[in-house]
Formats: sequence, structure tokens, C-alpha cells
Amino acid sequence: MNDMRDILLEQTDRLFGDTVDADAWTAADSGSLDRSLWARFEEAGLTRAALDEADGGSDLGLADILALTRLAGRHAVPGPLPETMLAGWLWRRVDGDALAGVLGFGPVRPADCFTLTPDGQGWRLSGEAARVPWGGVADRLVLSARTLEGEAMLAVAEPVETAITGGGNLANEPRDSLVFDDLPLAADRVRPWPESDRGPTLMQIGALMRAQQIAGALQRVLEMSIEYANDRVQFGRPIAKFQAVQHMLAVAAGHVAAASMAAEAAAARDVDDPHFALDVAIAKARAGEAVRPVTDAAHQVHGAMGFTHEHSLHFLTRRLWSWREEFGNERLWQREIGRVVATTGADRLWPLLTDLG
Amino acid sequence: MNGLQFTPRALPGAAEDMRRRVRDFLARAAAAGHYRPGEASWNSFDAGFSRRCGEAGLIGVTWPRSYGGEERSYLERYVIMEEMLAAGAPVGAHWIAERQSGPQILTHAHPAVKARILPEIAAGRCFFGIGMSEPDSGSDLASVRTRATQVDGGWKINGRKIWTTNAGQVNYLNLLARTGDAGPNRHGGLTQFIVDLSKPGVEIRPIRDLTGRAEFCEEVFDDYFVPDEMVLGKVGEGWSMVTGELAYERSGPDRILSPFNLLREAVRAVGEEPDDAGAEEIGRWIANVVTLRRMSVSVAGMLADGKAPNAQAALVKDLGTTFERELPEQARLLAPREPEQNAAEPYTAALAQVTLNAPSWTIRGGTREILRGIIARELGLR
Ligand SMILES: Cc1cc2nc3c(=O)[nH]c(=O)nc-3n(C[C@H](O)[C@H](O)[C@H](O)COP(=O)(O)OP(=O)(O)OC[C@H]3O[C@@H](n4cnc5c(N)ncnc54)[C@H](O)[C@@H]3O)c2cc1C
Repeated sequence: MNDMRDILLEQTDRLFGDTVDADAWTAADSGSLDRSLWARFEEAGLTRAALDEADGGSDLGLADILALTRLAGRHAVPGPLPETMLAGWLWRRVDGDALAGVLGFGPVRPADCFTLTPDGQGWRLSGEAARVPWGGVADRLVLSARTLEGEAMLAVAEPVETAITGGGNLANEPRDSLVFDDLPLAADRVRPWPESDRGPTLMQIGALMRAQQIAGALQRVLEMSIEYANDRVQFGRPIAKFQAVQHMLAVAAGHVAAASMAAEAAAARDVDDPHFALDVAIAKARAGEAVRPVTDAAHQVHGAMGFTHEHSLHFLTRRLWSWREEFGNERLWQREIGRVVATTGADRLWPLLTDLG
Repeated sequence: MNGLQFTPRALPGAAEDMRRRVRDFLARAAAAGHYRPGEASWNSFDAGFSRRCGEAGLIGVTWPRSYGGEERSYLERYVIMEEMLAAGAPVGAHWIAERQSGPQILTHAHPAVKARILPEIAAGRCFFGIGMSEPDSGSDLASVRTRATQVDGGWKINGRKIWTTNAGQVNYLNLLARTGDAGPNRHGGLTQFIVDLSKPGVEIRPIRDLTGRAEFCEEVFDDYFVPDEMVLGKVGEGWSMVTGELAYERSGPDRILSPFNLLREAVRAVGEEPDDAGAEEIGRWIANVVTLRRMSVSVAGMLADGKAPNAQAALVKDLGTTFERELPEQARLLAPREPEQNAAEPYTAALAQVTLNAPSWTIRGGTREILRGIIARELGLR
């Protein structure tokens, strides 16, 4: 199993390395989806990662999808590939049919909510969600919603143009606001979502996704900085030889390792595990916290060159500065952790930490 | 780059069994009044408490049975260390012997010395200090000038050591001295000796630190005699011995949990229904502590696998001690108190204790700057 995962990751790493370059990043800056690049991912089976083999999928579980997500972060892969894999996983979790095409999921903010009302055999969907990743580009969106009785549901909707207000993040990745007003949905487009107090919620899945992308991208940013420091010569020697530069990058390496450990630990957790919620919160909080020190050091080491559009550093750092805000920033998740710890109480703090492992 | 990966490592069932055993020991010791929970840490000296730890079989558990150990894994030992620290137990007397000196003796000492000393350490009756630093040799340890010259049946030691933790109270030091030429890489000609502090020829002067206690000392060696038997390892190979085991010293829970008393009391001070800012600050600490602990356990796992994760250990110590130093600064603003040593309120006392001790954590065991140099080398920058 682990061998299989290693092979898959190696192949995917190579595919991303071959297809995602400065040209692809520059093209993605327009905010539109690069269909030819997407076709390569489809060909490699990545877009159907979560689907049943009978449906032409790869039958991957959440942990494998999250490992691929981390790679996608490392390469700053343009397009909603992690979103598509995870939306497929979400819908499959409720025994929905195999979802094809470009997918997204939402809402991504705690305050946003969709409501479902029964309508004959089917349903009607109403509500708003701000800044849904690729909300206007995706063929289909997996949306969390509630019935009037408060029951948690998942719905699949095809966004109509009138419902969308376009926006973008710092990397010009589409972040679109959606408004649905009595959108009719067939009965098989709506399913109950097995949500407990602990989750998983769509917010948590999204936070886990971004934590993995952040961990992957931070590692890449560190590697780019080390390479640049060894190449760039000033005062007759590579700037890597200056202790100030060494120490900046040593500190950055600590944050990269911590972000990586936090994201990895949460990704390894089963969604039904009682500690899933806390580990997701820790992952997004810690990975988000690492963004500032690592991007700070990276840009400092790269000098003016790193501030140009020509150099590729910003394709990663602009995504990092966006991803840390999406699906809840550090503060939001720290608050979640803090409330759990406060109710647990000082005298139960240590047992909580050791139970968490 | 591969040198700085940390793989998540789950503690094995045996380690969790050990955790129950240690918690049981600590609960009974507290009930019997053998220590006051939540007050001390590894900078303490309570020989009586250490003896009880020894009697309970909680010292040197990884060592062979013939030397008083239990042949347990490094991960089981890890759990003992972290449980003691989290409980605020006064483990300082045996801490260094258990963490560093014992393992060095086990690997390098004369068989008769091992048989004599190790069971005593494991019993919590024999304590050690580390005699490396000198007045003119701190970070640049290879420059030590304390000299050992060969005499009939042993060695004569002359020179000074300084900052030696607990030297005034322990039985022995593992001492690093110059026995020959440094050679081109400056690392040659160094040898380690086990020095019995009850023997003549050494004068010990305690040095008061800024907390008011006199934990570390200066020692002057004047024709102090060490028998051949007490040479640790091969003559001239002291450098690789003191640097080879740094991963054990640097990656442990003592690089994360030294201020655990303050963390716990700050959670109490903020209460069960903190405001947003309070919850966020505590959440940030916990996200960091949990992650650091996972990194530290990951290194313990590498050690258990027989690897030498020196750079990872340096990284854990740098990141861990940086957190340890930030904690009191953030706590004081979150739950403001005027810190006072030995105050009745535990939070106020912990804030004082941690504020005063924090500066030492990024100095001892390798300064922050030296650690960052080690990390940078692993990153391919040096
Ligand atoms: C509480 C406490 C307990 C201790 N216990 C022991 C003990 O039991 N046994 C023992 O042998 N020692 C002990 N020490 C000593 C400790 O190991 C040394 O303090 C440490 O190695 C640093 O040496 P130094 O204090 O001489 O500082 P220095 O080496 O003089 O360093 C001073 C400053 O200069 C920086 N610096 C030095 N070299 C470089 C460089 N190449 N690049 C960049 N910056 C540099 C350092 O990082 C530091 O910030 C203890 C120290 C303390 C504070």
C-alpha cells in the first residue's frame, strides 16, 4: 500500500514537474482554467482520484488524496485539482454517483450557509457563499447545506452564470461569490451528510487541503531560496556564506518542518477519529503561522530579483499569502483550539496533549 | 535537504504502558508528600526524589539489565522524561547522568567502571555533571585548555572548568581535556575522563545565577589524578564522543516542556471561558507545543532506529527553545501579573520562574546561533 502510494507520488511529482512551469503559472494569472493542462491531469487519472475503479477512478482514500494535494502545493499547480479530488471524495462519502469534470466545494466561511427546501420529488437550494474557490469555473459544486429542520446535507449544483460574482485571490485564482435563489435540484443531487460535533465539516476538509498545499509550497520556497543563495555572488562569494543569510534560512527551515509535521499528522488522522477536529485546527493554525517567517526570509534572500514578475518565487508566495486566509486563518483555528483547551481545563491539559499523540 | 525531514512517529503500546506506570508513581509520590506537583523541572536538585525514581526503576531504562536497566526502547524512556517534566517533578539531580553521562559510560567506559557506576546511577544514588565549558571556551569547545598529562598509572589534570551544572552536589564529572595536539581540523588530541569529585586536587566554587540560586560552578583542577581506568573511550577521541551524542541531549522533551508549569497555569489563569484573544493565544501555544512534541518524538524514533539525526535534533532544540522563550513574554501580556518568585499563586510564581530561567535555554546545550549553523550546514549553505 505504501509502496503504491510512493509510486503514485513519484509519478505525479514528475508529471507536475514536466507540465507546470513558469509559462503555465503566467497563463494561470489570467484567472482562467488552462484546459490543456487540465487534460493532462485527466489523462493521468488525477481528477478522478477519489472515484470508484468501476467509474474509471483510482479509488484513493483521503490520506492519499491529501498527499497528492501537498504535491500540488509544492508545484503551485494551476487549476482546482485538489478541490476536484476532494469534492469527488466528499460526494462519494455520501454514496453519491461519480462526479466528473472540474469540481469545487463550499461554502468556505463559517457564516455562509445554504438552505434546502423540499420541492416535490426534489429540492430547492437557496443562500449565499462568498469567495468559493473556482466557484464560477467548476462544472459542478459540492455544497454543504441544511434542511429547514437543521439536518446537514450535501448537494451538488451546477452554477448558472447569473448566480456568480467573480473575484480572485492574490495569485488570481478565482474566488467567486455565489447566490442561489430556489435553484431546483433533482432528488439524487442531495444526500444527508454524516456530520457529528467533531466533523468532518467542509470547512475542516478545506482547511486540511490548504494546510497540505501550504506545507508543500513552503518546502519549495525554502529549496528555491537555498539554491538562489548558493548561486548569487556578492562581495566575491555566494551569499549563502554569510552567516546572516544562513541563519535566516535555518529559522525558515524550522517553520517549514513544523508546518509539514502539523499538516502530515492531521492528514494521517481518520475523519471519524475523535481528535480529527483538533488536529485539523492545529494543522491550519501552524501551517498558516509558518507562512510569514518563511516567505519573509525567502524574499529577503532573493533581493530585488525575487520582487520581479519574471522570477517564479511570487507564484508560490502569492498563493501562500492567499491560502493562509482561506478556509479560516490562523486566528480562527487557534480560537477553536483555545476553546477546546480552556474547557478541558488546566489539570486535564497534559492528558489531552498525550492522548493527541 | 533530506536531512531535515521528520516522519510522524506513533508511540508504541509499550510506551503507553510506561506512561501509566510513571503517572502511577507520580501520583503516589505526590500523595505521600515526596514532591509538590507543578513546581519544579529539570533544573532542580532533590537527591531524595531521584532515589525514589531509581527505586521505581525509572532511571536508565534503556540500559542492559546487568547494569541496572530494563532494556527498554528509547521511546519508552522518552515517555518517562516527558511525564516527569509535565508533572513538574524535581528530576534535576539525576537528569544529566541519565541523559548523557550514563549512555557515554555504557558505550565507552572500562568494564569495571561500568559495573561500578551504572547500577548506582540507575538506582538514583549517583549523580553527574558535564565538564566541557571553560572560561575561554564556550561555543568554541575545541579550544579547551584544561590539560591531562600522562603519569604512572593514570593522568594528571590541570586547568579550569566553568558553568558546570550541579558540580557542587554531584559525585562525578565527565570532563573534556586536552591530551595531545589539536591537529589540522582542531578536533584531535581531546579525551574524556570520569572525574570523582570526592578526590583531592579539585576545588569547586559555586556561582550564583540571576535567579539567586547557585546551580552551576567553577572548578579548578590542580594536579588532580585520574587512574587509567577512568579514561572514557580512546585517548584522543574525545571530540567525536562529545559531539556524537548531541542528538540525545538536544532533541528531548526538556527542549519544549521546561516552562510547562507556566503553560498549564496560564491556561488556568485565562479560565474556562476565555475571550477571543485569550483563546487564540492559548490555541497558538498548543498548536506549537503539539507540533514540537511530534517533531521531538520523531527524532526519538530515529534514535531508537539507530540513526544519528544531529541536524534534526538541532532544529528541534532551536524551534523548541525559541518557543520556550516566547511563552513568558506572551503569557505576561495575556494574563498580566507582576511576577514574583515563590509567590503563593502558582501562575505568578511560574511566570517569575520561567521569565528568569528563559535566557539560559537558548544558551546551554549549544547556543541558538551554533544550532542555526548546524542546520544551515545540513541545508547545504555552508
Ligand atoms: C544554565 C547553564 C548551565 C550550563 N551547564 C553547563 C554544564 O553543565 N557543563 C558545561 O560544560 N557547560 C554548561 N553551560 C555552558 C554552556 O554550554 C555555554 O554557555 C555555551 O556553550 C555557550 O558558551 P559561552 O557561554 O561561553 O558563550 P560564547 O560562546 O562566548 O557565546 C556568546 C555569544 O556569541 C555567540 N557566538 C559564539 N560563537 C559564534 C559563532 N561562531 N557564530 C555566531 N555566534 C557565535 C553565541 O551564540 C552567543 O550568543 C551552561 C550554561 C548555562 C547558561
